[in-house]
Amino acid sequence: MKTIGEYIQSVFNKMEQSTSIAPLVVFRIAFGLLMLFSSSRYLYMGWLENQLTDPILHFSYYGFDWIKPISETGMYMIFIIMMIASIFISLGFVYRISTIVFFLCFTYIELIDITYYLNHYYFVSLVALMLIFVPANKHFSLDVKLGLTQSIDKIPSWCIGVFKWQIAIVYIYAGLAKMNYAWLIEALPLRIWLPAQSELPIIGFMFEYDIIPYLFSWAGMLFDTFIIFGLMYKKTRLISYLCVVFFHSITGILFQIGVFPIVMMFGVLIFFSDEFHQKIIVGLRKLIGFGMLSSKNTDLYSYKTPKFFKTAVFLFFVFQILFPWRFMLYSGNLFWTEQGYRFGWRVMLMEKAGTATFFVKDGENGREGSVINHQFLNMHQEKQMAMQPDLILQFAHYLEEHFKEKGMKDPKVRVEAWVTLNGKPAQLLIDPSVDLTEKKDTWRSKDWILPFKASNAKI
Amino acid sequence: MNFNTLLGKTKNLKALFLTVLIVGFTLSSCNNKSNKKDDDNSDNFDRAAMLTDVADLLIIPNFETLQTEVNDLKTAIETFNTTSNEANLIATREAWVDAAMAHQHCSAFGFGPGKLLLGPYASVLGVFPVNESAVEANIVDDSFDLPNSFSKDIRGFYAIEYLIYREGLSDADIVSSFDADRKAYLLLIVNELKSTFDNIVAEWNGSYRADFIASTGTSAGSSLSLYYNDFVKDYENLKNFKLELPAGLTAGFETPDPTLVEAYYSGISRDLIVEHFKSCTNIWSGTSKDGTNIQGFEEYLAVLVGGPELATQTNTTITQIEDLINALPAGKLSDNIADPAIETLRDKLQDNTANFKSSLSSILGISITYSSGDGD
Repeated sequence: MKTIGEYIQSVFNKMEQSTSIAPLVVFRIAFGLLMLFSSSRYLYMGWLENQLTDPILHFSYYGFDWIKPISETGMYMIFIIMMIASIFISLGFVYRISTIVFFLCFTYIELIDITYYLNHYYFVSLVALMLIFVPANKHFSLDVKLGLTQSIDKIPSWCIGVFKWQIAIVYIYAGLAKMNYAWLIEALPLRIWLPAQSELPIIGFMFEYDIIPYLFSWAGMLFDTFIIFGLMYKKTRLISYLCVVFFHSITGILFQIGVFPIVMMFGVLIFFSDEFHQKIIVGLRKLIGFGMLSSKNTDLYSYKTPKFFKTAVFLFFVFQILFPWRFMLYSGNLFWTEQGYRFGWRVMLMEKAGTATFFVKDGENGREGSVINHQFLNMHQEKQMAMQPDLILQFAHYLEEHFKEKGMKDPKVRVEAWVTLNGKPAQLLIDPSVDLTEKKDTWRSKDWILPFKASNAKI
Repeated sequence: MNFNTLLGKTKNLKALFLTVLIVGFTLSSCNNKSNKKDDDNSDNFDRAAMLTDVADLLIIPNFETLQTEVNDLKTAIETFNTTSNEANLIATREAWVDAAMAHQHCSAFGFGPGKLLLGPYASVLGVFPVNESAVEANIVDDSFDLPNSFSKDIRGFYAIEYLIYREGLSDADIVSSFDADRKAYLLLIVNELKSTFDNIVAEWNGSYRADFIASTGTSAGSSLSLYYNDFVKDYENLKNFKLELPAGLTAGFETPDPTLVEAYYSGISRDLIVEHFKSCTNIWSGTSKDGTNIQGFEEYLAVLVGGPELATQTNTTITQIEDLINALPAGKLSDNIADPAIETLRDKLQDNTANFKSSLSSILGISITYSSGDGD
């Protein structure tokens, strides 16, 4: 029987096995292009202004309240730098610096306002972080062409493994998250979302049938949980990839999830064979007539990964595997309290909405007045805030500061937040008698969240 | 035949299947906006029918009524400007009241033609309180240019009200206050109202109606999403600006301020609140102004998950609100601005906000913003 130490050692040995660099090269090229496209789209949609520079206040990530947007010109500069870095990543040009710059820019923008949190932004940040440490520019790249680095054919398997493992975590955890009563037995929230799409051409008619949300719910759960295993084996790879294309096309059409269906369709190509990727590279070489001269790819990758680095990679994935389970340390309904909800690959899992009315009481004279939220927040922020306890707390603290600045000595802030979950009648999310200025956001369980009363469910 | 060879033989088939899928989905995603014959072959709610009802029996007739009232107001003002006497002043006031009442039944339709350069029409032409000193300054300023002014509190229904009611002046004094400059300003403002509503009605009766009905989706920017969002905003405006703010119930305000009520000069605030809430319930339940039942949100909810419960709950709250509106003290709202009945009504309107604002959009599956990642 293996000890844990021996087991880790065998993992480390496997991480060192050599494999073709081709999948990593194609992954690098696709990632750069997709990020260029996604950043351009972001600017084109006017989101830089709407999401970053126009709002009066921003909701911060826990521990990152020091991250603030800079001026509009400054934000445009950051976007342009990020887009140039994306192009450079694709070209494999000054690769290490480009990946670091991209990672910092992207993560900075992502951290400005948590109301725009998406699992997929987190995924992109993680991929960008990992790209910094792999030699994706050592083949079919400008760096090779210009002699900045040597061309190689083989790399240690962990360099590709990290992306496969990360993608596997995304899918499998998204699948596990769907294994709950509402999703599988009640077909919620799809029973709410799908009928709203009945006007879609070709497929829209389906959503008028009651069986469809159940089919989609079960298919979605099975797809997410098992698709990685289908992609891992040659026999099932092509049919699995067809499922990937089908699934992400459907979700892309049905829901507002932007470019991420495309990101995943390209991302999973990394599971394809070395030959498949070599063919793509040969095709690209022919297409652009570049790099034929430099293809003296005889160097073997002689670099031995330091043990501390392998340990870091190992710990990174231990964290990735464990962190989404932290919700089990909190009591209460996860969907209701959202304690430990984020960073867990819980994607499009519930229909939740709320209306939060804040009351500010002057501690000196006892006069209480209500707050008109949209004087401080845009529609998206207000919508996201109204159903997430930690964001409600942030806004309460903002109001405390705001009214202190206006001369109120001791503002007390309470909230009446009526929240509906999966179409069930709205309930109060927060104890409306609690003065939120007295409460702090911590890792501890928030005792001012009222429990979800399932008996209210009458569906 | 084992699985492997089966796969090999079907490889071409699969490639074909893939192509068909990709082409199919590309086509369908491009065709999102195309007109499609409405299928009414199932129990699913027919959004196109609802939009048709809303356009033909609610929005267009309400705007047409408002247009007529504004035209009558313009005629009355022209008569008054020609023959300035107390009788014509009173006739002008009567015409203004009719227009202000009709405005309550349109203020929720601030999208499409109802959206002006400066914003939804009610946020431009229905602004109160009026900036009295700015109005007085504009009257004597020969270079004042209304079309190019960005100020909202010097124009529209309530600027006219200020001019024809004037606090603290007798009717005779008001009539004699109308020199050429003042008459010109009054006419300028009513002309802007007239051209605005003439234009809105013309656009609704023109191509916009068909566009509105054809956009049967629920995503951000769809007709249903525009109609719904403006309905909620209009409802919140009633609560926030017609009750809460003047009654001093907004955070940071120490005392009530009666001058902040809608229609302060004429004193018809209470009547306007009654009309405004009636407009809200008409939109909610699908009822035209003359009482005809049409397809509305209430009917839509009947076929959706959690919908009937929400409809029942909302209707209960609405009945309570109607009772509380009836219980508002008679007479001018500004004279009773500290009356506890206002706070009770505000609280009940607040209770209902969640029904309209979050629960309804959640169950209907309406997207309220363009930002990606809703529900993620």
